[in-house]
Amino acid sequence: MFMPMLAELSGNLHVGLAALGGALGVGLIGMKASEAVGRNPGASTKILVQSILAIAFAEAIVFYALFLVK
Amino acid sequence: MNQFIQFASIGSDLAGTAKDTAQRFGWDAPHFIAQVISFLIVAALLYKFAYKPILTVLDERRHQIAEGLANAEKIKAELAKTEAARLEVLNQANTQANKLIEEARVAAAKVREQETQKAIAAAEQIIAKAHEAAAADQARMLTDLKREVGRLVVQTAAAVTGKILTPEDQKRLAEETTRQLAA
Amino acid sequence: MGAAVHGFAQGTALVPASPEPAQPAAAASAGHGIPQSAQSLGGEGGFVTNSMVVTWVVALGLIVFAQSATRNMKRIPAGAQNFWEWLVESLHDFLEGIIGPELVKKTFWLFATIFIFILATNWFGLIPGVGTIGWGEQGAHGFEVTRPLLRGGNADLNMTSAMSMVFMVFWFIWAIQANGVGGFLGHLFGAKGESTGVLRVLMVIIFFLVGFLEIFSISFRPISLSFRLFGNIYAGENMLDAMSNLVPSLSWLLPVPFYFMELLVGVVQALVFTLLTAVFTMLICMHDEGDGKAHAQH
Repeated sequence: MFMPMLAELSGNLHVGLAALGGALGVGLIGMKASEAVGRNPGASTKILVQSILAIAFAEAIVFYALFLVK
Repeated sequence: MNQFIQFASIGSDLAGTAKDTAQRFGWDAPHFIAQVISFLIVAALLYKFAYKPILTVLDERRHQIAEGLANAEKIKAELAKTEAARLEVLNQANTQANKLIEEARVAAAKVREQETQKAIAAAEQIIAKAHEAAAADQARMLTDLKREVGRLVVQTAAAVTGKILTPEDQKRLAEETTRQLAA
Repeated sequence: MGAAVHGFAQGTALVPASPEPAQPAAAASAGHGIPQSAQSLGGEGGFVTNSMVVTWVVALGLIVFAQSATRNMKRIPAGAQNFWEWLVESLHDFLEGIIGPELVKKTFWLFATIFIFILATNWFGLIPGVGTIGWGEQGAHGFEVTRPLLRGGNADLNMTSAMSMVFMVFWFIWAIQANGVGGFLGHLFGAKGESTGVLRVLMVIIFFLVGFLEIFSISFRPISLSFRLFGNIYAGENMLDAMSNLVPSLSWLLPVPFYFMELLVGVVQALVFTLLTAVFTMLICMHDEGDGKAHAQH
């Protein structure tokens, strides 16, 4: 039952997986960044820069996947 | 070599899919270039109208504030200096006044002393004169008294003896009496 | 094909029974909310698209506003001048805190324009009437706008990619200016960190290979920049459209919370675009200087 379903799966599953991973990554980065700002509000600018950079890298995966759409 | 070709083909594949994807979302070169130009125009005009004047003004204002603060500092220093000078002058005036008062006091004391001395001297003089006068009066009164007593003695003697004394006797008697009285 | 004012509440239905499922991508696909690309006004083949119109309107508005605000600058600011001074000063201070006072002098115009222009365009796209006024046809569910007069400026990939490509060009120019060609290449391929002997050789090889990855990642930057902004704004408009068509009787209420969210998204995306471009510039330009400073401090 399950295997035929998987076999039927086609298309751009990897984009969905990449989006899932990217979203998880962005969420984790945001969580840790907020925690860091909560611990040390004085360093919020530096944390912002770091987290924005990391989020960009995490998001870029989705775009890589998007360009591998067959 | 083979692998390199494979990589290259992956690259060209990627580029192709990128182009396909972009075109699916409506990307095309003419519109892209048009938007680039629009954006550059916006950037240039905003630079001309917004950033340059505002940043200049902000910079100027910052300078002015700094200058103002420096001026305030300077004014404060000046004020402190003036205050110090004022205090100095005041102090000087105070000491001078004190000196003057002291001098005046000394002078006054001297004058008073002099006056007192003068008054004392005058009083002593007056007292001495009075003494002298009193002594002279006494002496004169004594001589007068002696003379009177002498005369009375002579008179009495003449009356008692009944004999009129010669002027020589009288004189001798008077002198004798006087001598005895004086003794 | 006459212009028709089309009420927001009467937008296209989300899932109409479309008789022809396979429409050309450029044409309005009624079954998918808003079409993926900007449409040209005046029929097929016209050059001016509805997104371009919004871009120009926003650009013109910004320029006129800025010009009127700073035409006669006063010592004590008031009104529009005050607003612009506040905007420019806070942006300047913000960027200065991130990329440093030296770099901000050279690059401020680009980042400030990116932020202000993206923000203005995003918010302009939220004004009711953008996307709902235009040419259309009588459909099964009432009048449907298939060719709106206005479309959010950043819901057009051409605009977002134009901005990111302009940034990449200036990024390259500034990188070369700051590092020189050799320094730029060294920055990409050079080994980082302190090591000696065999390990050093290994590190050189590894970092040389990492350099290619770096180039790949850098070449993807404009793509991810433009798709991020486009995707956010396009998806936002799509969602607003869907929300106003989901339940016809509640179409006046359902989009309201999403409007607030889109206001937020507009700011966040403008900030993200500005920050990312600024940080990319800082990474390539400030590296040597930062090292020098660090060494000087030791």
